[in-house]
Amino acid sequence: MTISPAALELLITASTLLVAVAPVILIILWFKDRKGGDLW
Amino acid sequence: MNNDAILQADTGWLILAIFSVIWIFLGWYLGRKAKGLEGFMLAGRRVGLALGTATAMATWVTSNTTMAAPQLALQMGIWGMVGYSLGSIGLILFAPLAKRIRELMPHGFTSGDFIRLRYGNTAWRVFLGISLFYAFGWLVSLGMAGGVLINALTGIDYHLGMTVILAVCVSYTLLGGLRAVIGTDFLQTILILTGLVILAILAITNVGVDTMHAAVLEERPELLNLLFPAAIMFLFNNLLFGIGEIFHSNVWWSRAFAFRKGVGFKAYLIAGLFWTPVPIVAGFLALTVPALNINVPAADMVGPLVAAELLGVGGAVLVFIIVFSALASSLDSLLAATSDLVLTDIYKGHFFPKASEEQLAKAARWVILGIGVLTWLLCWPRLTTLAELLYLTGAFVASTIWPVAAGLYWQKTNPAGATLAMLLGTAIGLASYFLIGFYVAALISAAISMSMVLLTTWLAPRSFEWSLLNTQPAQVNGGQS
Repeated sequence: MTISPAALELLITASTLLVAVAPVILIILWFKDRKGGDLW
Repeated sequence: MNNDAILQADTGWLILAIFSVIWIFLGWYLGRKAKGLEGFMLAGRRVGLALGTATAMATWVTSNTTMAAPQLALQMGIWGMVGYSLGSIGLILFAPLAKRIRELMPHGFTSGDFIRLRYGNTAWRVFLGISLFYAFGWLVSLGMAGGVLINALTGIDYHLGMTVILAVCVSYTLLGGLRAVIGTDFLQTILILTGLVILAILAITNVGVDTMHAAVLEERPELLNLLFPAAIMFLFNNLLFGIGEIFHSNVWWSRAFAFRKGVGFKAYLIAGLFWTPVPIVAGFLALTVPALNINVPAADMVGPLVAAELLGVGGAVLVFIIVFSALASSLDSLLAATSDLVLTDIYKGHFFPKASEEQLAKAARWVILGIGVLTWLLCWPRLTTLAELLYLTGAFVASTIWPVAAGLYWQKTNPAGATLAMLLGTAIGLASYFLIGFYVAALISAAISMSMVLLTTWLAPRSFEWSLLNTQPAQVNGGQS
């Protein structure tokens, strides 16, 4: 049973999108912690 | 020298110098506010959600993720990279454990503290043997990865590259302890993730998924086979290996102790969810090899070679920065956590139970330096491929999953059962590593360990008083020699 090109594309695209979102979320959390004095 | 290197050695030295200065300066800058032993070892136990999430992610995104994920995709195809991504389950499952650890042991320092207080000295020593073997296995695989990467990309001698990367990480960990490690991890996470996304987008647009699929189907059809037996076994093996690594290792326990109250659960959960796609993004680059017709002389070089082929000098520089960040973020964490374990459980626990905080603070620096030097010596001969070295430790760590999890939640699990589970799980897991293959060691070790814990808990239940875990540091560290 072979993975189809469409399924492979979905797997790769969805993974890339999630990895792209992660740094944005981390930076938002950093500013939130910093504002609340909870960074350290 | 490596004549196939994509970057000039001078460029390589320049990048190494720039990032070495940045990490060491940041380590000093962030660590200057660390007060006392608790400040140095556990960042004052006040790490917030942003830094907590980033350090969990950065530590788990190692050179093995960025270099071994493409290697595994090249060897095992789709299931190789998807199986690697299941390493995130360990992070996600550790989220509730981190919360419980913080609640049960508000004054704890190491995972060794927990095993000794929960199961006694014999289990503690077996656990320390497993934990230290794993820690050095991981440290050596990281050090070797540094040398391999630098040699593959720049032609700089393996031994020189490996030495530089170890020296940089030891330097800033020495200067700032866990604060330096966690602070640099944040920046390193942003660099790694951003770099990976750039590489992935360029790979998708330059090669295209359809072309990639067609070329792999023609040359290596088994890589796209969803019923590739060895790969499916690898998937479950990797899942258990990841859980074993995280559940037992002081890298993760020290963070559970270092995070602010209420942060551990969220930080590990978010980190796990965001980590899941990382090996797929790093791994699918290897599937472009047939389409790009790249000659891959060694499987563990496939990631850097693909990036360089796709993007030329820019790609080589980018992958160099990504892997240097991934290496540093894991090496520093492992150095700090292993030195905590050696300091607390070996130095103080076994040899100097009455050592003062000042003596321990001084010894902590020597321990970090000593571990750095020992790792350097072990890395010097490049003995095996990265994945093989990493998976040998799978037999050891998977045997600790049940003793740790059951010890945290079940009052009735007994010390003899936990000790037997670790010993038998490791022994039979190792035998299967050599007799069957690297992809089953953790699977079999975890199965044996689980059977032992369940059987001995059922046959000889023993009640444990949870409040015994909530002891002050002076009592915690008073182990017997």
